[in-house]
Amino acid sequence: MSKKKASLDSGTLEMKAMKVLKKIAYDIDSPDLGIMYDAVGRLATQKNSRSLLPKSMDLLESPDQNVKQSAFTVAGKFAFGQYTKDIFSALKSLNPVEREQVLQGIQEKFNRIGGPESNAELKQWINVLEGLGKEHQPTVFDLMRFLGEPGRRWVTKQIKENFENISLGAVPALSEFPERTKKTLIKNLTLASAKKRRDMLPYICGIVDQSTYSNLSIFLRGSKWQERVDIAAAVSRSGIKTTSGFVMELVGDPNWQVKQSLLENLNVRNSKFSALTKILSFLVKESHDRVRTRAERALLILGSERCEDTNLTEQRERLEKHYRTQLLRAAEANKDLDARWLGVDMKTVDPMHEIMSRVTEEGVGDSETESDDTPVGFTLADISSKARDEKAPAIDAEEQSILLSALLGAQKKSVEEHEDPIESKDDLPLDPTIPPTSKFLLLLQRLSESVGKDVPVNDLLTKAEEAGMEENEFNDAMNELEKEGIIYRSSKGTVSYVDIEL
Amino acid sequence: MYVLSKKRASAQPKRLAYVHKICELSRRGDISAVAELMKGYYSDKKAHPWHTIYKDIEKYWTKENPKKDVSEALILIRDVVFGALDILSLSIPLDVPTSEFVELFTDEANWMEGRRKVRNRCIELVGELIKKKKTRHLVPSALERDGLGFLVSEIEETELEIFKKAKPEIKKVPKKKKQVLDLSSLEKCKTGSKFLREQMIMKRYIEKGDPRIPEILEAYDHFLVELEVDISASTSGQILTEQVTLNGKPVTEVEDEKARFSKKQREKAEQSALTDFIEEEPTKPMKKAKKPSGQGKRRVKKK
Repeated sequence: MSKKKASLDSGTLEMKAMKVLKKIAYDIDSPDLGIMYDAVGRLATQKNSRSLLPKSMDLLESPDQNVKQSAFTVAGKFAFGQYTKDIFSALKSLNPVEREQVLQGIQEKFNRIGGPESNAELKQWINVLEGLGKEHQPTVFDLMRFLGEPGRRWVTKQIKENFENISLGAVPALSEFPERTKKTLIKNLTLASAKKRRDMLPYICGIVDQSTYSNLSIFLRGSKWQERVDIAAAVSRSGIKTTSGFVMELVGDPNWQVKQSLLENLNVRNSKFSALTKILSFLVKESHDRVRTRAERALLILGSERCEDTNLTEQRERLEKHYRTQLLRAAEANKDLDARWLGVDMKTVDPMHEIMSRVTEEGVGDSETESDDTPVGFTLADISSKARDEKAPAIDAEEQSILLSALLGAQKKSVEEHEDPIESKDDLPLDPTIPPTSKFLLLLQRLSESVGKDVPVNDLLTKAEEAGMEENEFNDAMNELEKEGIIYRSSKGTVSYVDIEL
Repeated sequence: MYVLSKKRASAQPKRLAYVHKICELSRRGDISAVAELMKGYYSDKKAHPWHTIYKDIEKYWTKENPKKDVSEALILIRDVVFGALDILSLSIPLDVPTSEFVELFTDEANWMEGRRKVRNRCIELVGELIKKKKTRHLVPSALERDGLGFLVSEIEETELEIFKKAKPEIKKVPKKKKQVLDLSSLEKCKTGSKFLREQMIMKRYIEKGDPRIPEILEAYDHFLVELEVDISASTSGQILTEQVTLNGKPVTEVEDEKARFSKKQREKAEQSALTDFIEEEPTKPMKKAKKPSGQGKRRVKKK
């Protein structure tokens, strides 16, 4: 081998690189604020400037907030040993938001480069981090994952011994831990929270995945159905691969909402086909309409979305073999899904078209209200709302025309807004055939466009008389509308719409 | 022959493995891990070849890392070596390449000896800096942290001297034709810069006849008197930020406070509801009393 002359002079190069840092240190003390700020900026962006850490420490008490903040950021980034301690005790003079910013700077650095590995440094960090208050718990938890085994132990200890003090915001941070640690942490967390703090369940549901959702089973005992809805959603969101006892327990849940939540959140791509079909085989036989139609919909989805372990052709084949009837029904009911693979041509209807046709029907004044042509499940929970709906057609035709005229008014208004708002809105003649209440509303609407929300009664009355309304007719209409809760009268003699979005 | 050359090929990229390891630890801020590596040198020179790292870098860097800038690695090593030897405060002021210090400690028989040797050399170098009146980059608080606090008073005295010497005078500067008040030497010294910033003067020269001149000169005298009266309170900035407790006593011992925080938290790994503010601390003397002193571990190690 030929001997090569040393091509680098490390000493010179090092001093050359140091010069840049030295210049920053010099300029920070400059009386010229421009130069000073520029130096602070350079300090903040310099990549490897631990040498400037002593200088930054000196600036932590700077009266200038900007300088102070970036000094803290730099110091946090390069902290070690004694410096870490000093920085964190100085940190207590900042307000929580600024503190959080510094912590996030540290977090970002750990994320990019990684945390320290030696025990002495780890201990130092954990020591200072646990000295921070609970308001920083989420960030502290997240930082702990960079602090190796001691960090993991610290978080475990918090869960086991200090569970009451864990804030809900800190729960998501656990999902970032390395796989194995995460599993144990979630397990510990679910165990503790099932006993002591069930309010944590939704947050835990947010972080479980395929390997950890089984921990949620502990929540089932003595649970409310709302809790089980959350659990079901979490389970199906993370993908179902086995039909374990826990999953089947959810499938056989006495409450239909739980099953619906299970079906609504299916994550087909991460699930196994066999597991899903097994679940669905139970759910398509459900007595509850909503669950059944949902299950049928899920079957249809399975025909166009691949599971983890099979391919589409296989899935379709097996689906059609067992569930042809259900699939066809689902295709009819779920126009938004692709059903062509079934080999049947479903008439695709533009949903907008349907809505429009319904609107025009109403416009004609047909007394028939909207009718649902798709069968929808029906439960006790629905009855109350249905009952309310059914009241509407029971009210006489007059009521309907009120609403109609209000609708027309709103339509007109929007048109006018688009074109010219000033154009002759008062000149529009009132149809003498519409009932007085509708007239009243139209007049009120017109006036409130020009006057504002609160319309004086007297103005309204003059307008009404102009339009050929009797005074008593006017008062009757006003009283009636007030009773209905459509308008209200204020003490100052004005009338306004109850609806805020006039 | 073939086998040999193959061996060499595979061995080559590892020449700088140790250097890269140091750099990585430096990036992570894991100074104590590097300190361990340095201690390792005394027991196993092959595994911890500190004595050859600079030679290795000079020889192999371009070959093994043609695309990476060597100065980044050099800075990283400097940071971490200075940090491990507790002389980080001197990284900026001393114009000495790290290799020199590495050489110093690798020549000694054990870590304690090596460390002492380096630190003694550093104190010597700082002494030279003080003699040459180049104290601008010496940060007193950082020196104290590194256990070099005994140098501080000397540095402050020197700073005062420099400041005295830099008294602004009206003279003719060759660049400017008119008579001006020359502030350039003030600007060059740290205390002077601080003074100028306080006076909000950004120019180095002020033309004669400027109404500010008598003001500045008066302010300078005041500043100087203040400095002389109490060197430790030389910077009026410190007075401003001084904290006062409820009973009106100024909080002066920051060191003590720090210890109190860390002690308190070591009792139980439990986060308080909210982070304490420094100002609130004196109202909770109870906790302080509870814990026996565990402070200054690092300090002790240094001696």
